[in-house]
Amino acid sequence: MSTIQASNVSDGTTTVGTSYVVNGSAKAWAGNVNDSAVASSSFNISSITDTGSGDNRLSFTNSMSADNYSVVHGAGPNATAPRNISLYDSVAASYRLFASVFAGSSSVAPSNSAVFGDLA
Amino acid sequence: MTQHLWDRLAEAKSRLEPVQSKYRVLFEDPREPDEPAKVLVPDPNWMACALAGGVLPPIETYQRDRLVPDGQPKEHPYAEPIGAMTEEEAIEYLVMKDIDPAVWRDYEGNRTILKIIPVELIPSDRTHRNAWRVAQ
Repeated sequence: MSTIQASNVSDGTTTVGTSYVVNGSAKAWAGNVNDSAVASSSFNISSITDTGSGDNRLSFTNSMSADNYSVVHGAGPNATAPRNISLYDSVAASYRLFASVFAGSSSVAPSNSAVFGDLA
Repeated sequence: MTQHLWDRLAEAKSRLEPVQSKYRVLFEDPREPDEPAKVLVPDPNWMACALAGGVLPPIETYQRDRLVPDGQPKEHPYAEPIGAMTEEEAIEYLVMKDIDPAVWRDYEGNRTILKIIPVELIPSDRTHRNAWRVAQ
């Protein structure tokens, strides 16, 4: 694989440092993770553990440097009603998402998440 | 110089078709006896990397990195990749990587708390999901 080494990227008018591109990229993501811990697409995820109803732990293949990374998350497109997706118990090697079930419904919403921060 | 693991993963994702595993890992955590059984599902992109070889680092690097404090340099992103694994070897690798050693290494009780099972044996009816236990 070839490597381009550059400090900046420019479109001819605007120039931006490549560090912005590297630091601003999602380091991992998982799309449409259902209650059975199956994702429709993902990157830098080694496994998803179904830890209970609506409760999944996602493990990184390449860990983050520490537990202070940012996870952008929300309910997946198949949700038929508003759902809350909560992030908790995040460590450098994994993070956990909990999808709440509202009264009157037995279904758990799929989750989407993307991880930003520094890699190990 | 060895390419960073994250770069290898990005390259592999563009080249390898995802592989759905035919196995699941069912386990209980002895530190949380009131919690339901957990089901580990291998990621299809990760499984493709494991079967192809040349992407993932040795499992020992992850185990040593468990002892490295947050923010300190870790070994696994920079380690030389290992060769291809069988699907069964890949599952065992994943058990040691993503499940706490308290489950697969340190437990000394009489209950069976970890099983590698075909995906067909996982119940599709999740009505009582939070009551699942590992059958003895």
